[in-house]
Amino acid sequence: MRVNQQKSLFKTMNRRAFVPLALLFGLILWSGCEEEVNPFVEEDRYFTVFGYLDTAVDQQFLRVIELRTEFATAGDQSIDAIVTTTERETGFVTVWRDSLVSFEDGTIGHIFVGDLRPVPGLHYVLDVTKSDGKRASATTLVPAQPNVILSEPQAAFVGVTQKVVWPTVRFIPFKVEVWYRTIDTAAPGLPFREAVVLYGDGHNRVGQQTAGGWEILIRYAEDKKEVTRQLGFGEGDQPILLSMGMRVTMSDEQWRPPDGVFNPDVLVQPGTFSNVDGGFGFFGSVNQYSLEWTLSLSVTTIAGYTNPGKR
Amino acid sequence: MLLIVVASASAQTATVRGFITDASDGQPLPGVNVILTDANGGLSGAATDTDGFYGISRIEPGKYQMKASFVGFKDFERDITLVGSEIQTINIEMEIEETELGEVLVESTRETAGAANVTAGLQTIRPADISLVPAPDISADLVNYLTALPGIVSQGDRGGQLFIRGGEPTQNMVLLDGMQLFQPFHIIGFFSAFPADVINTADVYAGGFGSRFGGRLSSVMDITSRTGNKRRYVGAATVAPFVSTVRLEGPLLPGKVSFLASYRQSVIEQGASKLIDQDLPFEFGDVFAKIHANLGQSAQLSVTGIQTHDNGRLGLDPLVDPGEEYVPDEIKWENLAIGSRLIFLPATLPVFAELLVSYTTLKNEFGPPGDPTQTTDASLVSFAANLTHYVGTTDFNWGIFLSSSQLDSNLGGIFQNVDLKVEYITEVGAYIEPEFKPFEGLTIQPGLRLQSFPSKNESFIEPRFRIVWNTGVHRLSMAAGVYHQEVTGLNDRRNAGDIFTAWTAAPNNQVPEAKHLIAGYRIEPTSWATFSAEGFYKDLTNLVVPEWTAFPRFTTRIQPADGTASGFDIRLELGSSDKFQTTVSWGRSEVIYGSKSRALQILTGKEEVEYSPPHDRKDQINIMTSLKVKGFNFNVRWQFGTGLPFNESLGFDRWVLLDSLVNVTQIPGEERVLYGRPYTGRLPTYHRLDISLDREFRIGPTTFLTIQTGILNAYDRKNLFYLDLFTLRRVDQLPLIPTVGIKLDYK
Repeated sequence: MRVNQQKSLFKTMNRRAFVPLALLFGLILWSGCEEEVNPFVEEDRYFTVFGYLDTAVDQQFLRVIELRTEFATAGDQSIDAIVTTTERETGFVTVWRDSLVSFEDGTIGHIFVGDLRPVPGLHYVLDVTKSDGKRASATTLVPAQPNVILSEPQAAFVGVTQKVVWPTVRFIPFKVEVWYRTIDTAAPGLPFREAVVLYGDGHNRVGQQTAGGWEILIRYAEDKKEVTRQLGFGEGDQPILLSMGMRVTMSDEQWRPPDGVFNPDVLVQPGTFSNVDGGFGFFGSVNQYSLEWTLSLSVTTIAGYTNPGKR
Repeated sequence: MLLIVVASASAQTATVRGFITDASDGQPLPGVNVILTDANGGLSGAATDTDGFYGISRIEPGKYQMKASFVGFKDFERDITLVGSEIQTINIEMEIEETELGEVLVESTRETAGAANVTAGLQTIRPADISLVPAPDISADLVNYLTALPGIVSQGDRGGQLFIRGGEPTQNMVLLDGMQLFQPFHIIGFFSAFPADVINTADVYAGGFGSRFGGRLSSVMDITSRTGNKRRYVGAATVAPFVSTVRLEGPLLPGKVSFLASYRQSVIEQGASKLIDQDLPFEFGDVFAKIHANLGQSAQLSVTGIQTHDNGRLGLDPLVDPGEEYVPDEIKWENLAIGSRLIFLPATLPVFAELLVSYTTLKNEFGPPGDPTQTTDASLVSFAANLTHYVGTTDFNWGIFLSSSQLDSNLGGIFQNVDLKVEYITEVGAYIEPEFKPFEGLTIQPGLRLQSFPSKNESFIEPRFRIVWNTGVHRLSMAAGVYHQEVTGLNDRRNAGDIFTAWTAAPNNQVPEAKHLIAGYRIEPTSWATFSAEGFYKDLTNLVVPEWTAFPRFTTRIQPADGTASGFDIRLELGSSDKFQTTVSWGRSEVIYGSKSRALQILTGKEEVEYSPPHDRKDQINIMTSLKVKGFNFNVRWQFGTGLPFNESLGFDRWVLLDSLVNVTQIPGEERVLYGRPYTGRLPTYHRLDISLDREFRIGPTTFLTIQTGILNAYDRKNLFYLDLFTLRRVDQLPLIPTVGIKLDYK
């Protein structure tokens, strides 16, 4: 009797052990049958876009790349995409048109062209839509002209300097230009001429972040050399300075790279710097902040110019 | 001072020591039990090591019966008398035991160590173990057995890369007779520089190795070669579809000086490639030679030399369309090593001393044939002295070492932030590692290793610990240690076809470090069943890994990463190797690296992003069966491994750096792979069945012919070796291959 019980128990144990073992073996066989591999995961992302709206021009450009599972060295001839921008505040829709561009490296790309001049302070919604309705979209708020503080010119050993502070600017501007509107004293009847001095990286004069905002220092003596060169004056000439001004090309608030640096090794990683839903890339906007002023008689003279009142 | 202390401690007691060899060929016999029995039946004893050396010290003066026994050999017995302070050297030649039918018993029984015989990460492998694994070649090879062990992951049957318990191939130390070899595994994964015919034993530490070893993070393979036949000339030659071999050995001075030489050359393009009608562009070979001399009763000298070469083409060029003519990049490497080993027993001290001197070089190239873009030259000159003092039940091990490396790598710009120059690294250090045996069955081995790099102004103190407790049929073991690797290998693991390794010094203050912890249990309830289970944990810091980037370029940056490797393996061995033996093993592991890549931090919002590196095979199952019937040896092996990680992608696009007022109508952008997180995908599982059948025929008094036939990948599984994401082209591992091999053996 005991023997039978033991046998029965043994059988039960065998059965109990057999089931998980069989399951395990089956699982191994099932998982082991798959030989193919699909390296691509599916996500609701369809397009990559790169471009921005510029308040300075009437025609805007946007690079649109359709996501694909083939490695392409030359680029695709056709693209299944309709591109529109919608001015959110007014509902005004612009349909962009496709153009095929050949790049210098021999590849081709789809550049969509939009005929519009964006309005500062308005939102623009970009939609890139496939024929099946799948869509990537992004929104940009075109930066509006901020306040600016123009400090008094300061005479120093290096000449006259003057600070311009943009209190709400918290990121390095893409471009800082200072322009000088002049008239040649030798030909006062001719129309005025402008020289534009670029405060770029080359001069390291693009400004700096301070507690009060983005501060740009104008060095008149340094600029005078550039103005003279651009307008073809002689070294000792003192052209009449009618007025001068600053243009700061500023990107929208989303156009800020992580850590404040446009590091390609970081930004190349998909998703690290993107505002596109349903895709990758970036759609931004820029505006030109402007300020114009005149210099006093004494400062104009010290800066190497002639005051308009002294013709 | 140390010698004096030890000497005085044993002043009134005696020591017996010596070497035990096989009388038939003069080979050392490891694992022989030597027992001294006194008049009252008291026992003391020791077992021989890989040199066949035994040492029993702190013996009270008196009369003893000495007995040496080993399976397959006649017992050796002798009465001896010991007086105070005496050190007797008794070398023993053991005679093979023959059955009534005149058959030699020893052949297989003496030599298998057993796949389940693992102790705190240490597995000893003997040539007979290796012969149980079906191989594509009649000449068995160590690596074929290694890849059947749980916890050892290979890339597959090509590439020659072994990942041991989460470690990278460059974190493995491979020693042959004390000489370090940088890259001794051949490009076809079935072969290494270590044919079974020349191996005496291989001790593979999958972690937790003792103070004697250092300079690597992951594992140590300490291989000793045979000494060569001291009685007569013997040899063998084999012909098979992958490799042809010749081995010769014999006495130069009978009984005293012997030589052993082996030459192997791949014949893949003439053999295996034609069998499967598939291009297998691989070529490799090795030459091994050793001279061993008994310098009297108490000293032995050996000189070993080895040269290996490999070249082949593993990968694909993603920028070339299928069918388009192109010349794929070629990988080449060459190892050259020569070294000498002197072991001696000082006449007046109970000491075993070993002196090692060696010179090793590696040349590695990758790129277009004849014009490699990446090269590395590494050379190493090393000297080491290892001593063991036998003090009663304690073996007091200590040693000193000195080495100088020259590393010269040209990376061809593959790592953008690495500018390598010729580096000279000198290492000097010492270790101490007493082995206490407080009572029967228990061995405690604490250790301390000090290594210093004067040129880099860096020093490390590495504690080690090892404990083994044998009680009845049970064995409990544990090992732990801290390890550093000053000379590291740089690989770009993004491309499986590129196994180029650049050897370089670790960046200052960023030397890779590992901490190991291993705990194991083994039970041998009967002579035909062994079960073992072992868990491990490795904490890894300052690893050097390629930066994970979305650029489809063949350059990257290196970056530091931390990681862990943990897991366990279970092994069951049934039967004995003379009739039927089967081994089932399951290895479970998890390797996690933590990346602090800024891009990943931004993407995830986490300080560290964890991922599984491409060698993280979660589960591995190996089943090996060996059956001997009527002279036929039938071997089967089935391997199963879960898929290795790979980078999944959303596809491709082009990327433009919008860092200013970029004119998008003029900037073409760069092709980009849309990776998400690293290594989120898993390749299909790997599994394969190999079968072999062989039989030995006597065709002369001492001449034997062995014929082997077999099938590799018997059910023609398409195991993936390499998937090229750009073209979706795949390179599979070897398909079904029928093999046949012939071996002519003059014994």
